[in-house]
Amino acid sequence: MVTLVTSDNEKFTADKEVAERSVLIKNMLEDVGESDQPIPLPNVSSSVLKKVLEYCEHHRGEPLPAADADTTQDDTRKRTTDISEWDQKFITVDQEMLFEIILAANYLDIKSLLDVGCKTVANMIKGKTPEEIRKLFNIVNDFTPEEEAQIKKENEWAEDR
Amino acid sequence: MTRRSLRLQDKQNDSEARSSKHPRSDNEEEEDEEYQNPPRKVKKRAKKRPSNGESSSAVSKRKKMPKEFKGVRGKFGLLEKLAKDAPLDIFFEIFTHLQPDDLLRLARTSKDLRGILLRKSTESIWRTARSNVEGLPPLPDDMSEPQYAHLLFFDTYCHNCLSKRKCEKVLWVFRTRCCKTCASQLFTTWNDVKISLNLDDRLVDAIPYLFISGADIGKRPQYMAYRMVQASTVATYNAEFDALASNEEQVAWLDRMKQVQEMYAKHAALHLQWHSSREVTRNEERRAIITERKADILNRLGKLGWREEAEFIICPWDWDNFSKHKLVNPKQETHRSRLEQHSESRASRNVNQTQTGPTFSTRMREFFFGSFCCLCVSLGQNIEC
Repeated sequence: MVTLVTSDNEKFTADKEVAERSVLIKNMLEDVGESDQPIPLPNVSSSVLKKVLEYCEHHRGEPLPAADADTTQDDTRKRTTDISEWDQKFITVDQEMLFEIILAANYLDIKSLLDVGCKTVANMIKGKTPEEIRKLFNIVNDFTPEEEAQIKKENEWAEDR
Repeated sequence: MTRRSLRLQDKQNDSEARSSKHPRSDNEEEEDEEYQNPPRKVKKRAKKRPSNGESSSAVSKRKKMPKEFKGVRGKFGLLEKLAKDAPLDIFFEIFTHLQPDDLLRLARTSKDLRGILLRKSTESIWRTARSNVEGLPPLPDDMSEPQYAHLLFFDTYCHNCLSKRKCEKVLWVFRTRCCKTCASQLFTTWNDVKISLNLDDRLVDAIPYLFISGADIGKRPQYMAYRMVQASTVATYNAEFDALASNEEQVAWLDRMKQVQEMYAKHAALHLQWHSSREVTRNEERRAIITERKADILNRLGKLGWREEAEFIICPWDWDNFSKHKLVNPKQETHRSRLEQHSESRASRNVNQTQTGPTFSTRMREFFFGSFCCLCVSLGQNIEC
């Protein structure tokens, strides 16, 4: 068993197999060796870690993506935004929690969870008009009506800043 | 004693005179009104104000909440947060799951997002997004990724006048979408431009051209196809050609231009092919959805005892009204819940008589028998008379 300590000082215990779905934790455990010392996760709150552990528990035993799989798997992975039914239910949370989960998955290096989060956001954007995207993500339209008409014509690369 | 109407008029005149002498603030007027009709005013205000002390903006926000998030609690602003607080990698990871038209729409939401997405350094994201579209022909050399996305997917309006009229056809040779009115202004026939500018005959294959039917440019006879060129580009090409000193240079330039035109034509053909195959796939998908929805509706109606009638109404052909109905046709904005609501509300009206009621044939028999009886009664009455 592994003990994890969240940013709000809450302690979670999880099976080593479950916790090691996070590459960060796996590396930490490898570095520390056999030890009962709790692992501090200063960037993850208890509510988010609870969700992350729920995900890891459900996907326990599934093969982890290889570290060098980026180039070979990415092409097929990116072509689809399909999310499994369980994952879809799991990720049906408010935007704030979704944001936290994405950040935690990135920090803990759980590629599959990060993928689910990113796909969810992408699915939210897909096929929506600029106005619908603004409404959904609370983006302020800072274009004047004239600018808005102009950008419809201008599709050039902007200069890199 | 004066009449009531005259007294009222006097009162009104007095108040008008007072207000002109002492212009008052709106608040004062409100106070007076409140004084005269206190309970009514208070009631009105109470209606306008949200009941549990929430601000009106919060209420309006809730009303504007998109359907997907109606049951979800929490703050909005995910993209903004991701852009500001999260590493840019995550932001880009999201973009790799999108298609070029989604990226373009995102780039039109705010200045910040436009700044991020239209940087030349984000070209790889656009490339990945393009690879997400199956079978899409490669990016032409003379276009940037956003330009290609704009022309290919986005804004099926006329790119010249930006009118809302739909322009499905992309004029790939001219790299634009164009409505009939603008086409007649922007393009002219090769023969006309040749005479007016006194062009060299050899330029005929060097200048981008397109055969457009008379119907598409409002030219008669409509059944004929005209070799159209863009007036603005002809002048540029001609100037470039005239600037060449020797005949050899001109021949080399003409060859080069001819090759470019051939490349344009090949690319346009690839797009035509891709577009038609895409249409076929889309139609197949649409047909599959229609069949699935039809079966679903029939099953539901069957449970309520209406299957026989429904099968009688539905024609097996594609053009039947049932397939075109907004709850069946995927072109319309539909989803299961709406379909369920609709069928359930319809069915609930007849639920008592249908669930245990007679079948279609028995109902028809009853109907004809009833009409026959009515006819007999009326005939009997006539005979009695």
